[in-house]
Amino acid sequence: MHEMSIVMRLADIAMDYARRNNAKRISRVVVQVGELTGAVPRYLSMFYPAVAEGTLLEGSELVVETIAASVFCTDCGSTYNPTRTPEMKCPECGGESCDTIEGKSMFVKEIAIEEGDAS
Amino acid sequence: MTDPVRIIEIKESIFASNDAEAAKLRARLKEERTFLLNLMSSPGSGKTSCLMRTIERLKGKLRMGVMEADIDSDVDAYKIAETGIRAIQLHTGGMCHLDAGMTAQGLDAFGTKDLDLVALENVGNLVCPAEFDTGAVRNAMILSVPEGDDKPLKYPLMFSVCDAVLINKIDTMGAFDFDMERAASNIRLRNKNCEIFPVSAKTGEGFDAWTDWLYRNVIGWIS
Repeated sequence: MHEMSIVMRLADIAMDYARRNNAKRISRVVVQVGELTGAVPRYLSMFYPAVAEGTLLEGSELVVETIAASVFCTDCGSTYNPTRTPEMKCPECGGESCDTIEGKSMFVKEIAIEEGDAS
Repeated sequence: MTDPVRIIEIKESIFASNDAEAAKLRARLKEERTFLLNLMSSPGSGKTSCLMRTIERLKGKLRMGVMEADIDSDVDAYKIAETGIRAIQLHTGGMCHLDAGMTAQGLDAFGTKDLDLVALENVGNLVCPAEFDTGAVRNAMILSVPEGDDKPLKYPLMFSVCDAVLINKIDTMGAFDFDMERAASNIRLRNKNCEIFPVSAKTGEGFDAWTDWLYRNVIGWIS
């Protein structure tokens, strides 16, 4: 995974909303990362300060919330987390065919800003 | 005294800007009546040689062009140009994939108004290219026999985003433990609807079925 390009994209989104809301600075950015995206939260946090430097994001905290994966077994209809079952098989029937319900998305959930005169 | 803090709810997908650019590119291609195919695979699976077999069969019927994307070198663009069709080499500057923005830039430089079919040969990589919508009308990937029939299990996203999978190098099956039925069933676990085309770029076997499918999709798009 290329976490650096993800951090750059999330930074663009956060700064866009901050500017629109007349932020003086951003104190926190919360992102939600689905378990099936392959993105590694530790690396997002590692690259964040470098991307934030010299911007409204400088000094802010990046909070990464992991969204648990959830799939629907097309053989028996159960829902389960495939990252927690051996060989990603359905724990009820052992089936391998499933449709994803949750876990493939990455969102900027919210930002915390300090308001003031735009400088 | 610190300024009060306000929470702003956003809920915007990190891929939103690329998804929007890809949709815009597809709309532009529809208007221009140009079909863009995104072709992906590991390095060495046979993207260029499969494209050459495809060009052989379709260049009399469609006006074609190829955009080659690599980190470096232009060997692929030269090989394609030897077939007589227009080719352009994109260097990604170290990036492991193409996104919609980069694809649009490449198409602008290429000039597509007089082309029916543009094939984008993406960077050789089974991971990253699958994550980014390039704005293509259809995605295809190549799995080659020496890579093994278990790759759909190991690289689920790549197989799940493709409309067609070419299984190349079938002429080598005797030398490898590759089970075609197991490969097809592994692909189906990740993607119920994609077409599967066993081919050999070396001998030309199997290419009629692939090019017929591609041709029908192009005509459907440009009509």
